[in-house]
Amino acid sequence: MNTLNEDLIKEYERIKKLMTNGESLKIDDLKILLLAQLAEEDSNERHQ
Amino acid sequence: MNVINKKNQQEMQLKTHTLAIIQITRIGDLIQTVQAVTDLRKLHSNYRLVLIARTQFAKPLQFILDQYFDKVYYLDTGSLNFNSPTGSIKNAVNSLDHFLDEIKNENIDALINLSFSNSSSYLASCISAKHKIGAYFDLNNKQQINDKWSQMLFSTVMRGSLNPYSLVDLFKNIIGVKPLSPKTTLKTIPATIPNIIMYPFASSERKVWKAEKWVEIIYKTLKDNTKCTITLVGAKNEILKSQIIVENPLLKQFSARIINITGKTTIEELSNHIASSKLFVGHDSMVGHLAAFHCIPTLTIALGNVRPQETTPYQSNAITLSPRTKCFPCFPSDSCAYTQCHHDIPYQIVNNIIKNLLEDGVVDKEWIQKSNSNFHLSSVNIYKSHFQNEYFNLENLSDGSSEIQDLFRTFYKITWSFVLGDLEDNFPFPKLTPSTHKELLDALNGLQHLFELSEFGQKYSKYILEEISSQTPSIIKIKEFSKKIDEIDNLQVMVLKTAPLLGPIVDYAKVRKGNLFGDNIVKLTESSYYCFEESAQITRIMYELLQNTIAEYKISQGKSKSNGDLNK
Repeated sequence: MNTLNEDLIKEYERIKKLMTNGESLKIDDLKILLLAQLAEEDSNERHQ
Repeated sequence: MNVINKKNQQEMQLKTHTLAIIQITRIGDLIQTVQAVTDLRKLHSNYRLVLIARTQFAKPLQFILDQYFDKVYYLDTGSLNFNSPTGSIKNAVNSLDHFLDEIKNENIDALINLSFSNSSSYLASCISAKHKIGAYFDLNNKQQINDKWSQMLFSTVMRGSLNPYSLVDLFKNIIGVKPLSPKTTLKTIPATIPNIIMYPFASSERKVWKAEKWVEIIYKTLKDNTKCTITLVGAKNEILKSQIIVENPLLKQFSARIINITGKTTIEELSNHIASSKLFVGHDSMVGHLAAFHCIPTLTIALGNVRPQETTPYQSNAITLSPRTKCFPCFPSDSCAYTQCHHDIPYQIVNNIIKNLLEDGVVDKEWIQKSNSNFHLSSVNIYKSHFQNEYFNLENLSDGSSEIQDLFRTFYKITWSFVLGDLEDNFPFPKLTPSTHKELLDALNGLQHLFELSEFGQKYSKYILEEISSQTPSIIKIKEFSKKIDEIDNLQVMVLKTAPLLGPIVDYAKVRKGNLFGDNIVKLTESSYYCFEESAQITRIMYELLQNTIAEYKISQGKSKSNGDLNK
């Protein structure tokens, strides 16, 4: 079973593809990017 | 629940505008944000002030935040279970939606992002508001920063050490509150047994002295000041480090006068301890900011990547010691094997200043020269804060001549305050050395190039506008002129190879160009024209400041020459 972190990475890759294709994002995509970013910061803080 | 909601609604109706501030970084930044909104509260009590912060940093500060904000929204990332298989994207998005819906009811007039991290920019893009200040992402995932003070913060604070402003003043400017200097008198605690709050830790190793050095400081402080006590404070994860200090055999004889409460207090309890203490001594940290919040005198030891100008506790007469090590301040990502800067602040100076402050003495240039050995002074900068034109200012008390970075920070302060804040700031002419004189001459050449490039930029922007307004606009010509503008942008960056101290000017211009206003070629070109015009104005002011400083130096050297010879 995947962790939320792993699922967010997958979603991030999907959104990155959209951006590479020049498609504009939806507000829900920005929410995923926000969660992915928070997850990354959370992991950095844990390692400090 | 209904009663509370009704009360809230009534309160909201009395307020004319709602301002929401995003500050999702650490406790120290939150205290600095509180210091920035203090004036806003005084000047605009009719505004509803809302804070959006992360639970883990803001909850411990609730006792302060509730005094300054009408409402605090806590973003609880801990409950999202990022590393657990039980967390799902659907649940996380639902939880986020719930949080955003609550904020939506505020009908925010202005959303102000003071965090400058990617997560805060994404958060700002997910919150609806009539106006957005600070960074946010648009639907093309492009970071937008539309106000000039945020652009300046982004281009100078994030990229180098030439920012001349305290973060609190930058926050005030971004919010749009004209800075008012805070209470200027430090508290004098009439205690029979004066207590020093000591925080010998920091968020990263490069910012903190080894335990042995702190043992020396504590030993000498307690030996020289027979009446005082020292309270060691810190977080739970610093308990072990604090034990290494207090259990050192050298301090055994003073154990009755060392109180170690590391990891044993809440922030509120810590705040109460600080409020009744005589002095704060420690590294750059939220404890220092909390001391300034209570107007308690502070002595900060700045090491590693700490920038004293930005984070010295925001109050008058705050003392900060920083090393004169060439690589100071570094970046967190720089590799560093020797931490040379840790050795360049001698503990003897720290102890002398502590003794002076405990005796309610004044730390000024005269005292520094009289009471400290030149050998110890040679590797350290001693800064003291005061408010000038309502802005926080750090004066270097160490000796007559300033270092090149200090000089440029002063030039930038005068320039930014004039261009962005419409404020005329005055500083005495700094004393130059032959080496700083040479560096100023190099920078003069760079400024000359930047000025010429800005003039060309205006010219080609004008050509594009003229071509568009002609009867038969030529796309080829417009493309040619646009290409020239791109070349100018690249050449501006090239100038930094020979004049790296001009980085803030070029970086600011880059951020401005990345955030042009308008949705058509005419508006965008007009906006580009104004960027180049502003860039020319900045370089012209800087050139004049450097030129006058050099002239003053030459007069003082008895080599007065005419203005035309200055850059020879």
